[in-house]
Amino acid sequence: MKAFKLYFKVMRSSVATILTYLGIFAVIFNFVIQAYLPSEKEDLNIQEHKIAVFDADESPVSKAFTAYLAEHAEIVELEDTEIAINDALFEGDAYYVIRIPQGFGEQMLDPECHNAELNARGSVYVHLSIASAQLVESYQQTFQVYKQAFGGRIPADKLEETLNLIRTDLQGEVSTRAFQGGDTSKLSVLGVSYNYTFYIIIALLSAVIGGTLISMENQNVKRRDLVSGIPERQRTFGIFLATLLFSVVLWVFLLVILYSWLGFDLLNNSKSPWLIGVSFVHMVAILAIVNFFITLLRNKGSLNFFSTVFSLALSFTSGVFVPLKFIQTPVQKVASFMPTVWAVKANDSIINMPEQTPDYSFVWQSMGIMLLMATAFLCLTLVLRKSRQRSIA
Amino acid sequence: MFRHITKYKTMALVKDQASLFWTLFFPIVLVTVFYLAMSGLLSSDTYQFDPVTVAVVTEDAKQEDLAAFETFLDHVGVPGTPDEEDGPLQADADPQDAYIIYTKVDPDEARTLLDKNQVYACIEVGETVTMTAKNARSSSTWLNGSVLHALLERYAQVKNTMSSITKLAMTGAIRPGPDFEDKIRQAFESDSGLNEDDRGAKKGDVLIYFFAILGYLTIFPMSTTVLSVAEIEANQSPRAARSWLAPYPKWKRFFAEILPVVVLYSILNMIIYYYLGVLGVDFGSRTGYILILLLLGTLTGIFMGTAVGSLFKGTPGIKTALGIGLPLSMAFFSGMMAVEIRKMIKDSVPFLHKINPVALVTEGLYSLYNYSTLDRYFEIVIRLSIFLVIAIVLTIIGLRRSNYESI
Repeated sequence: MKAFKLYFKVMRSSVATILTYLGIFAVIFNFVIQAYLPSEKEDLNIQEHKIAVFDADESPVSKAFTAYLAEHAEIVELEDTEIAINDALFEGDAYYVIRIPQGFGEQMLDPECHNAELNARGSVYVHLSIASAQLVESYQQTFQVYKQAFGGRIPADKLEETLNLIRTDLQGEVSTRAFQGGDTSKLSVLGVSYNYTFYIIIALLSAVIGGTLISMENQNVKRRDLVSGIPERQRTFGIFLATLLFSVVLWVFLLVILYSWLGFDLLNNSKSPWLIGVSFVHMVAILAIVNFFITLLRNKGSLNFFSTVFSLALSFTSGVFVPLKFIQTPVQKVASFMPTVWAVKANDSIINMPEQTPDYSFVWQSMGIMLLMATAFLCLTLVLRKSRQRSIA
Repeated sequence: MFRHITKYKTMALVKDQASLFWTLFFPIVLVTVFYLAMSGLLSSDTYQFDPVTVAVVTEDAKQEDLAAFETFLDHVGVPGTPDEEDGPLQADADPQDAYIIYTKVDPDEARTLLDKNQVYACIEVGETVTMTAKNARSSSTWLNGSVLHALLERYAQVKNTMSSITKLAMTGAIRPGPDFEDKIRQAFESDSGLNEDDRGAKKGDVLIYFFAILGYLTIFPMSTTVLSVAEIEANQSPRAARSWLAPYPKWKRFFAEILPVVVLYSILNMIIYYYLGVLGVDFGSRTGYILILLLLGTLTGIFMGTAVGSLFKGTPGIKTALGIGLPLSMAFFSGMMAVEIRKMIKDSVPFLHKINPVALVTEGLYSLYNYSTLDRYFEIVIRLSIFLVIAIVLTIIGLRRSNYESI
């Protein structure tokens, strides 16, 4: 147990570093959970339309159209410059910008014209652009209906009355209600959050464990330990046990943060133990891989680069940040040589598992594959350490 | 002396092959992996609007409402079937131009489908239309609510219009001709449906991920320079103690030490930019402006590192953790890992968003790609320059008037 104790003694000198890493990743993790956490409000959150209108026509029809838009959307006042418009669309200050050209009113009233020309631009938020486009189309459609009702031409003396009628008709209301479901929506957030823990575990383990492990593998420290009579096998076992214990503590810490945000009652859900199981096996597999690479590297200077590349590359290719459906098949195939993609797939499978006829065979298979990877990397690490020991001797 | 220090620092950088390898290897591998993971977004049609899945309950609907709503459903959607394995509702026909995929069910089943996330919302048809969905703060499914709400409003508006026109006809305000009904129907069907322009994101919007990773890589040198202050502080390294004996101003020594790092990372970020171009990521034609922005970002990253290194007198471990963690956090907040986070930060902590240098570089690249004028670009350049000046000033404040009595 001397190596076990020594590991923690060495680690004690980097407590501040570990806490700094933990703090940074805890903040990131907190934002992720906040971003996906469902609201408990009874009213349904519907994003209000934000539309900017530039009316070059100033006709009664265009004014009525603008007034209708103002009743159904927040009209954003923008400077009529490209930069202001682009900024508003990019920043989400406006979701739709409508430019009413001169002659719009005449075109709308023209019996031969079925769709008056409008210039519109949507924002990066495709859904909100579509919703705003609906508002515009609805007005034009209703106007055309009234035009046809009057035989293709709205009489001039009836125009104002018709425009008022259109505005009244377009007051169509839809009532909305927020669904207060059981644990299901929280479970899907739990699944996403577990996926993010994979990234944090990879980044933390490679950065935090690595530094201490490299110090322990310093030739002088190693020689001193061997001279003191500790068998190499016992020393390796002690180090592995210490890294495992430390990883478990980190993992539990992350899970406590996770459940404290989402509610500890989720632990009672039948899917929670499976998610925890997958997460634990993933953590063990990552620990084995990190141990192998750190043993291979032995260079503290390279550790920071390694941990950043390793954690980001693994997470991006394994579907932690971007859903797996967006990742190309060859990339997924390459990523399947690492445990994270299996953990992400297992999580997705658990979250979408039917309650009545659950089939956890894929989850077992994924955990088995991850354990096999852990064993393989552990063996590789042992072989590497053995060969290094010979060279020291 | 300046030239002498610069020369030897350059030689030291080049001869430390392990560090040089990782310095070059890290960004190349990162952007390659990032490209491989994200190229699906660039090339495919997957990053677009997917039809909203809904469960329709018509139990309380009158016959006339039911007929009208079914016509509406035929117009805006395609029918679907609940997935047997509790997956999302599957369309029975090609949903190419559809806004929604719907299934007609009883209230209990609708509730179950909603609870299991098999549908986004439940619509109850009656005197009025009621839409029920889950509240989620920040996801694309949350935005589905806006589309569905707008569609249902249109249905209610059409109902109102029909009712008004019937009244007008009854009062004699309009005189329906023989083809009146056909014309009215044609007018209602004049809607062109889901436009191709509305469906998918523009390429520049997908490129935000690549802009963010370039932004991250420009600030990443911070992780290297956060420790380089130790090389000129006599109480932090033996080499610094020795060189401090030479009668040469500390600030000059500092800039002589930092110059090779600036050159190395500037070249590296240029290589990364051209490398992404070779991979097929098109950042637009304003190469000169892009390179200036990348250079400015690199300088900001380098001097942020020196500022942190000189101001925090903690152990190298903490400095390293900050050097690695801060650029990562900034990249995270600017949407490199999830674009929703960027909007969330902008809405909830706008100040953080405004001073985040990774977000500034990201937005600068976006403005160069999407805007025809350069006003926005220059505004970002000015903000980034102010940030850079603050970082340099903080570095100088951290470095000046150190006492070394007890080395």
